[in-house]
Amino acid sequence: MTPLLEITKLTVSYDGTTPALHEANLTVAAGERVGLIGESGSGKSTLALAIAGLLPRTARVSGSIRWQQTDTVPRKGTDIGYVFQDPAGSLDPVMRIGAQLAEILRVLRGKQSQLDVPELLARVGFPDPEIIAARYPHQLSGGQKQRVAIACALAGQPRLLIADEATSALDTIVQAGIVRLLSRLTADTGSSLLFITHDLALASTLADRLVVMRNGRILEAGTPREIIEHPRHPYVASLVASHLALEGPTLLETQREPAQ
Amino acid sequence: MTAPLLSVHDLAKSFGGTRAVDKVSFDLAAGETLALAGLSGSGKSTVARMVMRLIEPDAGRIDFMGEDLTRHSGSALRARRRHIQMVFQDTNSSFNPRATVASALLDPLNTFDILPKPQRAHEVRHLLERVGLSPGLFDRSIHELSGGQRQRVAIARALASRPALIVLDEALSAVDASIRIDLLELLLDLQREQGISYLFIAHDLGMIRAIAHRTAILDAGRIAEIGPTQSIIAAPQTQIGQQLVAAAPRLFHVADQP
Repeated sequence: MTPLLEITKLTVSYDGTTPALHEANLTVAAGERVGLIGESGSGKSTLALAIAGLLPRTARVSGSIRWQQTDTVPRKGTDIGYVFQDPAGSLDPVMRIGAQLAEILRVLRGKQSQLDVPELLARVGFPDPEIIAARYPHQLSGGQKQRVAIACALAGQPRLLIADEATSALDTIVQAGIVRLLSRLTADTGSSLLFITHDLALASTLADRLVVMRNGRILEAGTPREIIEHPRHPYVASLVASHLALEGPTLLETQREPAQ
Repeated sequence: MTAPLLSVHDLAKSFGGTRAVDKVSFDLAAGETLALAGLSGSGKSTVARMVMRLIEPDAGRIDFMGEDLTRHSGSALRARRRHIQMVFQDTNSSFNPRATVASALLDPLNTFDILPKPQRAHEVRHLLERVGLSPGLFDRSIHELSGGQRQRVAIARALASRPALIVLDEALSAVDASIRIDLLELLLDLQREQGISYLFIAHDLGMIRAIAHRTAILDAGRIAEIGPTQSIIAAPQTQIGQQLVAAAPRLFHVADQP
């Protein structure tokens, strides 16, 4: 598999002393879907922001990021599309959806864009793109806004799509729909996906490979089967054990033994 | 048969012409947990807030400890509030960030005049220990605590007035998975020790299954189905119930390609 992105010993510090990310090594192959899992403060978003070149200027960065086996860094928008947790924060509240997407297409692709607004909206699962294009963000539900944010990220036809807790604020049914959409889009376009979440089970539903982070470090990486059936690191094992399944004994039952 | 602790009859609420809650009825026994599940906008949080009387119902009765809460207001309502406490999802906005842990916990003890004054500081330390926090946090500011610690303080504050019912509104939805298990175990321990009832509002069925004896699934302001949690998850009878069960993330459930 051709590496699309190769990260070597990447260290990031916001305050110059404590690293938010410590010597991270990660390779993402072309077309690969990587699930990046970590709890708050694990460094997963710092890693994603570093890849996308979105770190604040004051951050200290060392190590290397290689894009498509060259020493160039990926370009925002056209090489990498980024979807954030809060879609409302990525959309202009006083601009119609269609106008926002048209602007992104114009800036990113100029005249060579093969995509137009209705097609982009159809790709993210809107059966009636013209109606959505005429709406303002506040007229859409949370799930619809996140689909529009994904359409924005796709406008530049990126090789890598980063979804940073993109489904965390959504209901489970809407969340499952967005995960299916991301899965289908990456399969259709052959682009890679970096799916960032605190939810191990959710990541295991769509990733080819899982990467678990804690306290700024990558602890373990492997296929979902390897990570879930044979976790090597005790913390990864505890994450697997903390999954609240819909099968098997429940906490309520195992707690039934009388107190001492 | 003993009367339920909480019995809600035909509760209704509209916001600007939209029926947020439409004839919702359920019972909750002492020492029992009932989960209210559903999507955002299903009315589950509005029901919770009406039980707390933070929102006035348009119609219906809320019988709690043998009295209709909707008939009370002012000081009569305040006196009864001692027995119903609430824990919210967002501890950042439910606490004054500049408050210390001690003042957050002394507040309910003073408000409801629980224990003689000189014993209250000791009670705060006891509450902290009970929820698994070090009594050494007494003088800390709330904003210095981690999210998990803040949620433990919120549970301690709810316990301070020795309530019969705690309403947990997505209280564990924003905490990390590894901490969530510990908090669920804490809630189960407290229930076993003190016989507290929980009204547990959540959208995550895995979490609901871990703690709730019974579950009501709300859809568009109505109860679509209600029953033992295990039966609802094993064999949901309604479309919304089936969708919720199907959407719950499972380890190893490789996404189907549409």
